[in-house]
Amino acid sequence: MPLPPRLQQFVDESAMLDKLTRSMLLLDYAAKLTDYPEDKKDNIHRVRGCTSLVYLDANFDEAKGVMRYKGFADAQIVKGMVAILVNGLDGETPETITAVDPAFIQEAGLGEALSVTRQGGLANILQRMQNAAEAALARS
Amino acid sequence: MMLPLPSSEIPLLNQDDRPCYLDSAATTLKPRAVIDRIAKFYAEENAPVHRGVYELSQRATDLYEQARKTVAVFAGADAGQLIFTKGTTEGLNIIARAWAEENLKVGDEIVVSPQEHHSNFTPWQEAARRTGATIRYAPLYPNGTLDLPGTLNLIGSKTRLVAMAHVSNVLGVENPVGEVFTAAKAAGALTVLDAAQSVPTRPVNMEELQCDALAFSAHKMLGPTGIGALVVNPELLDQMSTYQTGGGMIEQVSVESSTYLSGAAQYDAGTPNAAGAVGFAAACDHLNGVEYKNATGMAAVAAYELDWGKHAVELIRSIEGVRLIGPPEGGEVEGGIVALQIDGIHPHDLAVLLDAQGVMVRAGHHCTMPLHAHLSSGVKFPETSLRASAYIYNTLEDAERLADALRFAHKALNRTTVV
Repeated sequence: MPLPPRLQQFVDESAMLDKLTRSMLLLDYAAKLTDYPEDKKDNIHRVRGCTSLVYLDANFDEAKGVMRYKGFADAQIVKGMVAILVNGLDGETPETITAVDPAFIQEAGLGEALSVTRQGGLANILQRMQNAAEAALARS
Repeated sequence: MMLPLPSSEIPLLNQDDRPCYLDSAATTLKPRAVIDRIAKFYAEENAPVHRGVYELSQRATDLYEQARKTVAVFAGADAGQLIFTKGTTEGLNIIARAWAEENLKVGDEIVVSPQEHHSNFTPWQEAARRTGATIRYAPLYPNGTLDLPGTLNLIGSKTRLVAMAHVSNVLGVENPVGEVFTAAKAAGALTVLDAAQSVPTRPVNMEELQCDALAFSAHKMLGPTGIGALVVNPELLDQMSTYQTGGGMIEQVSVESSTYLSGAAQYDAGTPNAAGAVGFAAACDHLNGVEYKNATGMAAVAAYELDWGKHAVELIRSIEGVRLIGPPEGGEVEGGIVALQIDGIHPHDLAVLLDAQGVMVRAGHHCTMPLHAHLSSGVKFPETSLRASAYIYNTLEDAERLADALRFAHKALNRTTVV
């Protein structure tokens, strides 16, 4: 199954960049991620296994049949990564989201920017988003 | 060979686009001479040591034992005092298991400070948990350095063990080990030195420091990974129990009972890492042969690291918003470790942006969570930092590349910081 269009667009763009330009692109994405609710910065919404503090709020919009995501990270590069996922998957159906192959992380050249510790932060965040989509599918 | 070592001697640096590797406090790059020596062992000299009667095995055994002597002399000790380990961490764990857990009991006290690397912290927590002994934490000043009078006050008749890093892997400065260990010895306690950051960077005299055991790693001093040294005084060696048993360390084995070799040989269970030992010795030889200004060997290494550190710190101090934690606030530069934080910026972001500019540094807590918790108490900085650490192949231009890359990263991140 192809990636959702906005995620594919990012992968195509990012794959062509050198490390420094890609980092700057991540910072641009980070700056756009601004509306995470303060009252959801808690342990329930925290994504473990990331090098920085990451929160994710995932909800299923039953009327429209799509997932809605909001995210936050205290490190800007990580925040940029969260923004790519939120921007790429917000408003997509749970079926589309659960079918996303994590291989796009390597294709986009994000593997190296992420390997600061042995925990794969971006893969964790994607997993958490997919778990929420799976739960929505199970309920519907 | 004059310092800095030329790129042509370090294969990883010998590229058109020379990397700016500044993570040597974690592990150093390897010179061609050390790599070639290890390859020669495997190609021409490989055989099991302490086991064969044939000439090749005897030659390998001689090389292994000669390496033990070379490394011991490098640390100012005799070959009979040196146990080969996997690295500093295993060396400290051997003392915790083979001495502390056998000798400590409820009511006994271990003195250790929150400044320590986890490798010189958790083994003592474990030893205390298993024996019922108590840990007394040595006090630190707000800048992370050891409060000497406060530490000396903790040492008394109940103190059985004092463990301390010679040089902090974050602050980059020496602890007043001589004073602390002299008081510890007077109280009848065992003194254990984490020398992971000091043996690779300066001359270390075990006797002068009053230390009973000293641990360091080959890979932080041009040598291979997976081998280190634990140097113990002969009296302590006699008091230590068996750590691991198996082939190569037995005296007699029968179904009724077994007896083991004594001394350092008792700690050679299993086929020893002979190639690693030979590479370790080659690294010591390489360090003994370096020159800088009028000094040779480790005195030259220390002088070079100090000059590099001074240059780097001067450049970094000029960057707005930087909080230096190594060297500590109010302290002097003592070597090639520079640790810092920038107001409002996550060290992870800095490290990624530095990497994108070819500058490799470490971001995080550097295995010192208690120290970072201490340093961040009462201030708005995160409990992590950025650490750049040089070795004898880094040039002064590397310090300039670091400062330029930091300045760029700072600007790029400030642009996006959401207040």
